[in-house]
Amino acid sequence: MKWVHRYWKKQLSAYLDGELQGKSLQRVEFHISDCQKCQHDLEIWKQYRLSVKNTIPQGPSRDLFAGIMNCLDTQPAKLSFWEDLWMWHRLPPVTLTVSSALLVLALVISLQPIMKNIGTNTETILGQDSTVDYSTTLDLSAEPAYLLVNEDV
Amino acid sequence: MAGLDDRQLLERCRLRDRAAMEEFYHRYSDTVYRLAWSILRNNDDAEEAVQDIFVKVYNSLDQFQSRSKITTWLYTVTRNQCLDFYRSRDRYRSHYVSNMDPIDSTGDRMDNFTGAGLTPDQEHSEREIRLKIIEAIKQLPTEYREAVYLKEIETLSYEEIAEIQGCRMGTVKSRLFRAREMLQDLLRDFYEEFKER
Repeated sequence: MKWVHRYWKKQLSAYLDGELQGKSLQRVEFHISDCQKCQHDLEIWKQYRLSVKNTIPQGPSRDLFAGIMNCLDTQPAKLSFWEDLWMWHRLPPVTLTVSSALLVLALVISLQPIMKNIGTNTETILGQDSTVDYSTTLDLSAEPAYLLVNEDV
Repeated sequence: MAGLDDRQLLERCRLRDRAAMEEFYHRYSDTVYRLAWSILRNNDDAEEAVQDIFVKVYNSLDQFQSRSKITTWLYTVTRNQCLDFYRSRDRYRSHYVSNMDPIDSTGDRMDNFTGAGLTPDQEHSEREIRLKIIEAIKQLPTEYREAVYLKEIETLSYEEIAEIQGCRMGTVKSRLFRAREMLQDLLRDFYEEFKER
């Protein structure tokens, strides 16, 4: 029977809080009129309610508002989003790492065509045609030129 | 300023009108303080939290959506701030384990208790009851204590409490029921002893 009383007790709590309506309210009211245990619990809970109301402190000390205003006055001016972004020290380490990595990547991508151009220009200066594959045209089996000169002598 | 409704008051607060900010503070500081106290169970911590909460609120008035009630928003800010406060000082666990001396934590409030119209004996008994109740309330888990405060002191509905605590109405109902059962258990001996006197 203990769980039956526990069920009613839970309903009683909601009844005390004014959260029951319609049939459930009628059922609980009917039960209370018939059950002494519930009447007793309800009385005790009502006493607690009063006690709790009297116990909780009423409010903070009077000079607290001055402290709040002091805090607000000494606070640095609120920055805009871009100003805030500019203050690198406000950024968390993860954001900083990710943004640095992205910056380096963007730099590499944007520098790639320039680097390519530099390579082509160097080849032009040295008088080499970049379209010719030198490794295949060079005949490695032929006699070196200085040896041929010696034979003639 | 007292004649202004909440919306007008907030508009003026956004413009940093000092008188409006003071009126706003007087209107809601008690509510915020009581909720902070019910979570932190300590006057000094509650006052510190109230200061932080109002600074935060004044700085973020632009974020307040006028669709919801100002009190609901304030309760939510207070709750979050107090829970952060708790975690940042790593007190959460130690509070559960240790039974703080209620005279230490609420001594200044208890000293304000005058017991007007009572005989010294009655005054002493009344003071004893209060201390015992404070002690019992402090032993409740944070969510229960918070729900009890929101229901008994602020007389909010289950729906409003559920919104503030970020849970379902059924959970609020259970929390209040269990809190009452726990209080009943904690105070049973004391009340019986007290009645016998």
